[in-house]
Amino acid sequence: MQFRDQTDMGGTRGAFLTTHWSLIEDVKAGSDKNGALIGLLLQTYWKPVYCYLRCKEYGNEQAKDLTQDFFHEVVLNRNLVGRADKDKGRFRSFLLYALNQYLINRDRDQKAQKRIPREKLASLDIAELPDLPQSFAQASAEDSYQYAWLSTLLERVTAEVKTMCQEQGMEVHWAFFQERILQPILSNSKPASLTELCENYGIEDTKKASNMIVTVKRRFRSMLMELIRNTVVSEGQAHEEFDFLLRFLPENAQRQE
Amino acid sequence: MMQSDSIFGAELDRIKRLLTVGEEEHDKNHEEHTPRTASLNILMERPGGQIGRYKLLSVLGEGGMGIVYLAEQEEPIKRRVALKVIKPGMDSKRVIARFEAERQALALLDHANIAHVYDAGTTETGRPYFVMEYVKGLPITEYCDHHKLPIEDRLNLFRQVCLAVQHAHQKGIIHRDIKSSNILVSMENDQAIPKIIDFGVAKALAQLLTERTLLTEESQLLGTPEYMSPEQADTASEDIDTRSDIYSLGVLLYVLLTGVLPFDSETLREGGIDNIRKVIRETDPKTPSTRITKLGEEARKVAESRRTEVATLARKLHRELEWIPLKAMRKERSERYRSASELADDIENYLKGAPLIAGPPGTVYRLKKFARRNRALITGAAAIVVVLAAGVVISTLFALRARRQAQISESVSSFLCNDLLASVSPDRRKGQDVTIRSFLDTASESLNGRFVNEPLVEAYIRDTLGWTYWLLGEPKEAEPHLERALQLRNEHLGAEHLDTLDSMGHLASLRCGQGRNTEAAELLEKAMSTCRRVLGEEHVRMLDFANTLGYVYCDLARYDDAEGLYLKNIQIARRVLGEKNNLSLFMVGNLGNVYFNQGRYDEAERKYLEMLRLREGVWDDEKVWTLRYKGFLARLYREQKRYEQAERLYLEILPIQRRMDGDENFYTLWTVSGLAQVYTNLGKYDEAEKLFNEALKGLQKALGLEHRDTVRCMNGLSELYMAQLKFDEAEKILTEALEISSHILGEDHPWTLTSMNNLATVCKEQERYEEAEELLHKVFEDRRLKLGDTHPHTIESMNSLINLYETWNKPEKAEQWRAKLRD
Repeated sequence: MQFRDQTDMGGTRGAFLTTHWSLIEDVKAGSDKNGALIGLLLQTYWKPVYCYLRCKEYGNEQAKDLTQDFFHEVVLNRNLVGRADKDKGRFRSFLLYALNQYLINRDRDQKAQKRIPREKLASLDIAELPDLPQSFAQASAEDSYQYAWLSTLLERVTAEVKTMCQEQGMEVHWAFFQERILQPILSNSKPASLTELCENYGIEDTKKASNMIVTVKRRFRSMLMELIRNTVVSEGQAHEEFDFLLRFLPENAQRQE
Repeated sequence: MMQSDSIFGAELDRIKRLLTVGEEEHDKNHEEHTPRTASLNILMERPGGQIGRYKLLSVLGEGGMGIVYLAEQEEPIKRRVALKVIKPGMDSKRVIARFEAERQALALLDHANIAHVYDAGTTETGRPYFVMEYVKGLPITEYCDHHKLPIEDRLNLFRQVCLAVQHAHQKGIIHRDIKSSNILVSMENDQAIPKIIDFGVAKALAQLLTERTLLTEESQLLGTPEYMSPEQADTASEDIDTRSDIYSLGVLLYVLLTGVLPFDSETLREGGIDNIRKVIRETDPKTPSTRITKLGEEARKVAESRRTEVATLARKLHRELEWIPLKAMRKERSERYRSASELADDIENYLKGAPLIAGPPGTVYRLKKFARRNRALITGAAAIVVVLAAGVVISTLFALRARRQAQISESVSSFLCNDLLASVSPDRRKGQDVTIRSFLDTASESLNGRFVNEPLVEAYIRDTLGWTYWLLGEPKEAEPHLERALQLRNEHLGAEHLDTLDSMGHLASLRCGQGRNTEAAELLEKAMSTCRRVLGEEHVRMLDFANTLGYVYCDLARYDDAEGLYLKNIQIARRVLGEKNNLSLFMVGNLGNVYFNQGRYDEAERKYLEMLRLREGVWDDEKVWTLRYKGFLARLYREQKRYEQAERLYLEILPIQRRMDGDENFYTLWTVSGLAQVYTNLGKYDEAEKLFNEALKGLQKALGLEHRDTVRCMNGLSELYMAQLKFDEAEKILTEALEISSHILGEDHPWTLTSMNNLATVCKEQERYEEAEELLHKVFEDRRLKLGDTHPHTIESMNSLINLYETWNKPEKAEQWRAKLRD
């Protein structure tokens, strides 16, 4: 079974190499004339926003509309990006703060929706909607937001590593990783046996297969750290951010049990 | 719906597993490149070993902070470097992060007397290291002694060090650990070249200084206590500025001149950290000349290594060379040299025989020192007031003597000595703390019934006490004294006596400060009328009153009256006192304020600039008045939407105000609030919010809730909230501001109208159109009446109405107002 990148996010690989903050600095410096950078930021953050809204008990359609309106009204028109400051913390926290402010005013200002013609809304592909795990039924909207951000991050890592393997003729490496590691984790199933995999893909011994998997695992880890690093300012903060994400997980995982 | 091949929807435990995929392998992978054991790592950090890309050759030195190696770099260029490994126990990540933060600035350092810091990193054992230019030389004091350099040669070397430090300060870098061993002298082309090492290193390690060093044991003290400035010892790093380096340079100069440290190391350290702090903060070092004469046998050696005799050296130091290190080492930063280049200049002055900037410690310095020693008792602003109050009392006495009112003078002296000073003597106070406030309170209590037969003495004392209370920020206590003093003088000297006029001036200032401007105006008008009759139109007192009255008129929004008053009196002041006299300057600047309030922005700018040009040579850049009028100019730029210019100007004056006047000073807060407004306009909301909070909190504390400047700050904050779309907060603060403002300034005062206008905007944004309409109409009408049809604020009101009607979907009404605007 192939991994399907159903989020339709990510764009070109080259774009990923640019850090979030340098993207934001570029936008602030006015070098985003055609809106491409903004578009990339929107693609990265719409899912967390949407999930947050769903948890705030907005209906599916309303959450979709609000997501679009928010990006259009606040992020684009009110130059939210221009006001972000990398010294003041995570961009996603800043975005969430702005979203809350937007919701407070929006609730009061029900007519605003009519003021923006649909065709002028920020272009977002909200065809395929992200799911939250069932255990999140009772979770706070903030946790959902974090969850969606984390999932987006991991999907990007997976997509990047997969592309990297394909580009370097390591399709078998990827297949081993996917079937032995990725799928079992995601579907909570038992991994295929190495011997079986070797037979299927024509690999002579299991030791070699095992090394192939380790190679992809390392790349997965490197890519994860690289993408985390891209959202923070310095190397030291990347480790802090990783620890933060780990802390977020067990705490919530326990609560779900 | 959960899809098994999508990450979205996966439970948290699985996300966690995914997040840790490859963690182990990745780490192992890294270890494969460096499969060393801990003991091997330690071995690698020895000569013959390797740290990063640097091969360690030999140990250059070992100090409290760590070991310095001579090392060799192979790539990208082959060179010898000094590599300093910090001893274990530090938070390497933070040290390196701090270094990285300053790396760009360090790269800008390009000076022949500063050694480059090339690189920083962590060793395999996790210890931070710094890689620096290798300087082959001796610490400056050792070099000087070794070569028996005479004083003048030492001063020349020291001057070069000052200029190098100045270079770094101009790039925004503070050394923080200037000491002899960090200044190495090497020979280049037969010339001695001092080089400062370790720039950027101390700052990177500063965390340690605050969190560990001073809190744990003395042996780990980092910043070399002998060279440490009081503020370093006190707050340990958070409030360190360039003047901290000036202090350390002062210590270095002290050692270069005398061969000994200002505070003997053994004595300094014997009482532990607390003693170190206390000595550095409170004890003045012995003057170098005294120190030399008390060194005994060692003094001879010291003199010899300077190629001179002990007596000659002591004489040379006593007048006046020793003033230089003592000024650099002043406890109060503001009393030190303002820059390293000023220190260098004074060295040059000495060498040329020109007068020094430094002088011997005077009375004021001693008084301030008293206040500092008693800081636990007299804190913050009060410490300054002690000096101020002492000044007031002393100057009153002098004034009395000058007038030959010997009898009154004697009574006042007796009152001060017998009643007041006795009250603070240790046996009477039984160990209680004495503050200036309690001093004044005692004086106030003792006064009652004390001078029944000497009303003029009572008047003098009350006038002094009242004025001092007022300076202390205690208007309530000041009021009865100043009122009584005026009453007594009126009764016994008559309304036309100069002292009575002075009392009126004092009381008017108090009223003005209390926001009771109508009463202030009445007093001043009366004083001026008397003054005109008795002293004539051109008397300096008359001009003084006119200046204050113009200011009061402006506050009362009586702009035409203020303008007329200033235009007339500027002419007189220039003729009588000259255009560079303080009063002439004030009035030009204050006329600028009047124009500003009238919305005549171009004329206001011309006046401000004219005043700032004229003050050159009279008020320097740090003079409180210069700062204040620059603040007014910045406010004008803001109003004209010239935000970048406004920001630049505010940022120019704010650090000076913080340093000179303190963070809680009213004018500093005024600047803080002004800058916050500019940030709001520039969309820098976080900065704006931070500053507004500081300003509002400070103003409320300093002036109370019910004060016009607090209201102004609240108006500014409401604009930020509106920009942030926080309409609830905006409404709350505006309602409060409106209430206070209507009460203390009146319903039609321009600032009240600003609150109302902003409130209307909030209503509009919340689609409460009727309310917005009502408010905007009132604001418009009042502004028209108060400010005139063409005032920018009146025009703003019309635009707000047009905008309201458009949003409300009432195009006809919008058009009506548009037509009105065109007219």
